[in-house]
Amino acid sequence: MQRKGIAFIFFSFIICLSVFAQNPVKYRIYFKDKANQHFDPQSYFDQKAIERRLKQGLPLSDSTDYPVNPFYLNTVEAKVSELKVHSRWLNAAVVMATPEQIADVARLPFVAAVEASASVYMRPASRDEDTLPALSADKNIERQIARMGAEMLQAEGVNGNGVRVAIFDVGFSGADKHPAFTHLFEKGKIKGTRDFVKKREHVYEGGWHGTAVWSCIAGKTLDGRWLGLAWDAEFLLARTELERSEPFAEEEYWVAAAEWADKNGADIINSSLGYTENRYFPEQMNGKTSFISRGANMAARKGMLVVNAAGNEGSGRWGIIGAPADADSVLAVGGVEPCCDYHIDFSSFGPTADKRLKPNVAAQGRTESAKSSGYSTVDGTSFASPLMAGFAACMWQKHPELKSMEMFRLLEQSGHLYPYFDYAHGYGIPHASRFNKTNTEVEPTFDVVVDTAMSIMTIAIRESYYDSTANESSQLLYVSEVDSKNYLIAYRVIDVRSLEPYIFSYSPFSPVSRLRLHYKGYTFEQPIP
Amino acid sequence: MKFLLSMAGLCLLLNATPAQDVILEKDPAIDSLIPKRGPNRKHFVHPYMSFGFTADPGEAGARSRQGTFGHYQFGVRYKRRLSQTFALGYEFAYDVNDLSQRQEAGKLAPDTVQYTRERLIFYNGLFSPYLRINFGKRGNQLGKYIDLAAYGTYTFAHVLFQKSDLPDGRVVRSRTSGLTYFQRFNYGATVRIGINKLVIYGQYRLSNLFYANWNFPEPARLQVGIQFVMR
Repeated sequence: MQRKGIAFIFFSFIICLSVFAQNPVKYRIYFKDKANQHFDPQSYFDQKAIERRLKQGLPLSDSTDYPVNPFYLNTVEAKVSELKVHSRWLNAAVVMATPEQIADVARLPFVAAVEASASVYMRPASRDEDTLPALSADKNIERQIARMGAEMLQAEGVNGNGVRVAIFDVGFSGADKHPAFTHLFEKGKIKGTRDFVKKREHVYEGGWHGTAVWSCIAGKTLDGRWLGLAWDAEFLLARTELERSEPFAEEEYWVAAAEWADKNGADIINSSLGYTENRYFPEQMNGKTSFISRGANMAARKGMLVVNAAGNEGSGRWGIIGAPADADSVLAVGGVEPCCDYHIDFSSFGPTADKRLKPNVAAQGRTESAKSSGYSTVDGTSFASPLMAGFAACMWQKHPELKSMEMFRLLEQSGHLYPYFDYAHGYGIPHASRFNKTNTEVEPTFDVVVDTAMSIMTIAIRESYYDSTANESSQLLYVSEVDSKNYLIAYRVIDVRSLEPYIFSYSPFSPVSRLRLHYKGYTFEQPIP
Repeated sequence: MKFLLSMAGLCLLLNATPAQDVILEKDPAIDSLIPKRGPNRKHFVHPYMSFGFTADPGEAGARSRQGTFGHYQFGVRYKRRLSQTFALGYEFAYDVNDLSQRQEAGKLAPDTVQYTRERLIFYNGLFSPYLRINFGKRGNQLGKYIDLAAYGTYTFAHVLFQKSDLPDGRVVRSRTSGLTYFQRFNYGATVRIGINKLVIYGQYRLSNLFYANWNFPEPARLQVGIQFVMR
């Protein structure tokens, strides 16, 4: 009996070890240098990529553009189970290897570091459709681009022409035959496709998520209405993930796709995915920890505007934005309700772990979109992000002189809340009429009275700015308690349903240094006495 | 104006009547505190449920039916993280072990009679300390792991169930408890292999079910099953 028992424990342990420990797992290998490598930007880059660099005052190439030393790659490949992908930007290779193999690789003289990597599922930032009371499809279509100034842009003939947008997603099922994109195929607007998972050109399968995302930039309905703002832009379509079932869904494909987008002249990258709890802790959402966030920042450094969904964890346990939305140079897009300028419940909150503002801006979080066949209402910041990417493409068509980070700041400044912000809406929903406008004179819409004896502030909406017939949640007072470092201690949104004043009770001992308020375009800061 | 507004505000405050409807309220200073509890934090407590089957026949003379589901557990497990790789913990569980005995020639325990059906059912309280070895990088997830555990059980009730189909069509069922040949304290080892909320386990009883002086052969010692981590 005792012998059998010991045998049971021993063999169970060995079997378990063989299941987990001996199977190849994923590692990132960073190399020390790019010794003896040469690089000719003229032959490597698409002409659009060269134009972008010249326009933005960037050098045609730097050391990060140089290829990874092929001798290093070949040597590593011979020692591991599989070389999956490599990154010239990060001078790294991603491999599948056993612990023995990786120990052997780590001893190579040109290897700077080896990093274990988790193999987990990515989360496309969309969700099921049945959680919110629906507006009609017509209302969604009308509002999803109208609230960013579609009418004005159409009148000006602005439609993203000449701007190249790269979309990274799980696949674009049915998009090549979908009537929503016929105009793009007819005009030859698809400038490149790449499936980084299966290493091939075909991307029109794998999931409807990418199809829906693309339609929110440039799709149209059967009756000819536009679903996004940039229907005349050019596109690069990359499949960087497999939906749900992919055991090695990886950030590395995203970075490889970003390098490919850079090479092929993308001006904007839209990515509607995020990595959260499976791989990271909330305190790691600082824009520096994750591989994908470092890659996204590098993409921004190359002059591309990186637009990413904030995520759909707002009502979940995780709650906050994921990676790469946490990167400081990534424009993280939150979601608002179709009915009003108010945070949609699932949209992930900020700030980052190091207390930077996220999301940066917001767009409609419930949209009408194309699916593999037909059209449907879809929920998720996945679709707010391409609405914003389409808007950015239009703004870049209008203002081609802007550098990517100038575009980033101007998009923030065109938000309906700007200069007010909070960690649910960012600076709010950008609008074409506010873009690159310096007129900040706004008539006060409310009054603030401080009673130091009672330690209260009374905020009273001016009668001329209150509409008693307005719909619920359409007149919103935004209130933030701000500390001396401009960090929000607390914030709230108040649905103004009457002219009764809002009372704020303060303590002279709290870290709150001022109250920041916003109502109908007017932002006011009241220091705490 | 200032006075009137202040008074209006004061009245509203005193009446505790909300002047307006707060539809979103967040407190990032509190929200961003790093928690100490979670699947890959310092402390983690979670309930679990197990469903297992008899995986070995036992000794000749007391053979159990293999593959019959009869092992159920509902418990609470505590994990104390030591590092990204190692953790220690313990668990308490309500454990039911239902052994369906083969009725065959040479049967010795608990008696030599061959019934239509015979089951030995034990209702136990279980305590089990364990060592956990994690594999791979992960966030706030349980991840992939192996648990090596020792366990002890105390049987607070047991039933010997016997059913006979008589030749004249009658059925005789008997339920006997308080049998003196069963040991109340048992112990053994458990190995678990888990990926997040899904666990496969093997539980091997090292102690004898019957007191030694009865000289009974031992029924099945090994249960294998699936366990669901609930959180």
